[in-house]
Amino acid sequence: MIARLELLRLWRSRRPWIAAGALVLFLGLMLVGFYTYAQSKTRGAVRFEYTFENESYFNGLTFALYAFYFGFVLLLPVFVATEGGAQIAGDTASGNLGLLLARPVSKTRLFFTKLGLAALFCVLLVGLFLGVSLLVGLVAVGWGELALYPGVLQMTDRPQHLGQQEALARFLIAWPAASASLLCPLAFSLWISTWAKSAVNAVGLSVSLYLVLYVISEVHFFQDLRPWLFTSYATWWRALFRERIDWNAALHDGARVLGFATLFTALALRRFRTREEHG
Amino acid sequence: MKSGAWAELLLWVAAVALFAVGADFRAPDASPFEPPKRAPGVLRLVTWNVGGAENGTPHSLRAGHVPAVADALAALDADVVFVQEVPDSELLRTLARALGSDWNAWRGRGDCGVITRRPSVERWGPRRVRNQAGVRFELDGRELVVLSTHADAFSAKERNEAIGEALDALFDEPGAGKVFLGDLNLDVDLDKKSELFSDDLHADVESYNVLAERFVDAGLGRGPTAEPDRRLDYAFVSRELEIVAAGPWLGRRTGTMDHHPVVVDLRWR
Repeated sequence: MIARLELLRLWRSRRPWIAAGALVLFLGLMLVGFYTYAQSKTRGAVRFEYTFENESYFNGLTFALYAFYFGFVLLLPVFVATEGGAQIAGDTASGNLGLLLARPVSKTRLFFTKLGLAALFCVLLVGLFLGVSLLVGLVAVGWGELALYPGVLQMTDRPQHLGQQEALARFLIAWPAASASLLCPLAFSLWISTWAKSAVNAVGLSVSLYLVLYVISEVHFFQDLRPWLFTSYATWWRALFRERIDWNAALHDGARVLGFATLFTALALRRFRTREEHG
Repeated sequence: MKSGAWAELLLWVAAVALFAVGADFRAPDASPFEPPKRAPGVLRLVTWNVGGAENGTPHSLRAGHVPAVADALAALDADVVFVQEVPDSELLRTLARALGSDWNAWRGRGDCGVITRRPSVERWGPRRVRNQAGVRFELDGRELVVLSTHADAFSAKERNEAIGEALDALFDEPGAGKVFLGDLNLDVDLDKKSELFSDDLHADVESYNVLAERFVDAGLGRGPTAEPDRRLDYAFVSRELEIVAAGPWLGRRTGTMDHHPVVVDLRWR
């Protein structure tokens, strides 16, 4: 019953539609950028004579990977953090939390219901984004092989090529892997949400902190801090696009990602269980 | 204990378990490269930018650094050494004399030079590349062509053009195997924000991949070759050659020098 109610409230919040709309807009802009860039690189306006980029490089699979990568690091965490941040802080501010707990429903059950729905939203959002990226790539650009080069999206340290079927299989296994990564910002923002008294504060703080941690983890000057930041492992799914997947390394990174997500969830549950509700 | 407390306890335990699985207890793979004793039948090439920088100002090879450079090169016992940042022919000859009377040295174009004691080494180099020194010689009955260059430190566009032209010239040369090495001033490390060091990272990515598609990057995964924590010096080897050992030899630069010698041991496949 509580799950159905929460699902209805998520649906009516319009947050899923805003996220989906923004991602579609992003894909549209990506498509224009990708098309004009590919035109300039292959039709005369070449800046560098010595280049690996050619007409076969610019295909739908490359487009989907570019779109998914940039969307993953810059957009999806924001939507996920928004969802997590809004959950408990929003209900605290509106007074709905008191009403929900009066049904009676235990705090633990309510917590896990909210977390479960937000996680489901996260998985579906990643799947939708990935699927639409591939569809747009197929229809608007046309498929080919997936060629990856060192220095491009930091995906590989040597030139590599994946056949079309193999590349599609890699996109498929990247879906759960990338979704697991997003559980970190989700649980992190949920934790912040248990401390905040308004959804705006919780979302603002969650997104800001995510961006700070992301930037720190990207700059190699801070390499001693990297192992301690969940953002350092966020794009571990990139390893799944290598010609030879290092499964041992992938297992380590995947466990770290889930470890951070579980840690933040434990912290959030502790705070939510032990805090006093007013009103 | 209430269900909430149990759930929380489970989460803590799961978090600890996951971090334990995620922890990598293996010894780090980044042990510094140590040049092995040269095996019979193995060709050893070395590239070394022997210049440096002091108070942010670059400088070429200094006379005071010659003894330390000669000591390192003597220990390496290389067949051919390619040096960059040696615009002074006399200083290059001083370095060769410090190695022994059987060593010969000459400058190519710009600040590049060659030191070798291998007999029958022919000089060559494309005139359209500003900083270069090349050699060709017979190795086990087949001709090997080697070209070294020192690409521009400040302009990615200049680097792209110089590397591309050097590569074209190298492929135009007849030979069973090709090696392209030197200080290319490119850093496209997988794990760094290299745009902090380049005026156009995209151009550097283009330059690197033009090479990486045609050659094997011998020092890949062997760590930085220059300060601060940068991989700027490369040895690209054609696929007819087997890379026996390769990497930067750390701890041999002296004073204000900022590059390590990069060693590559080769033989025919």
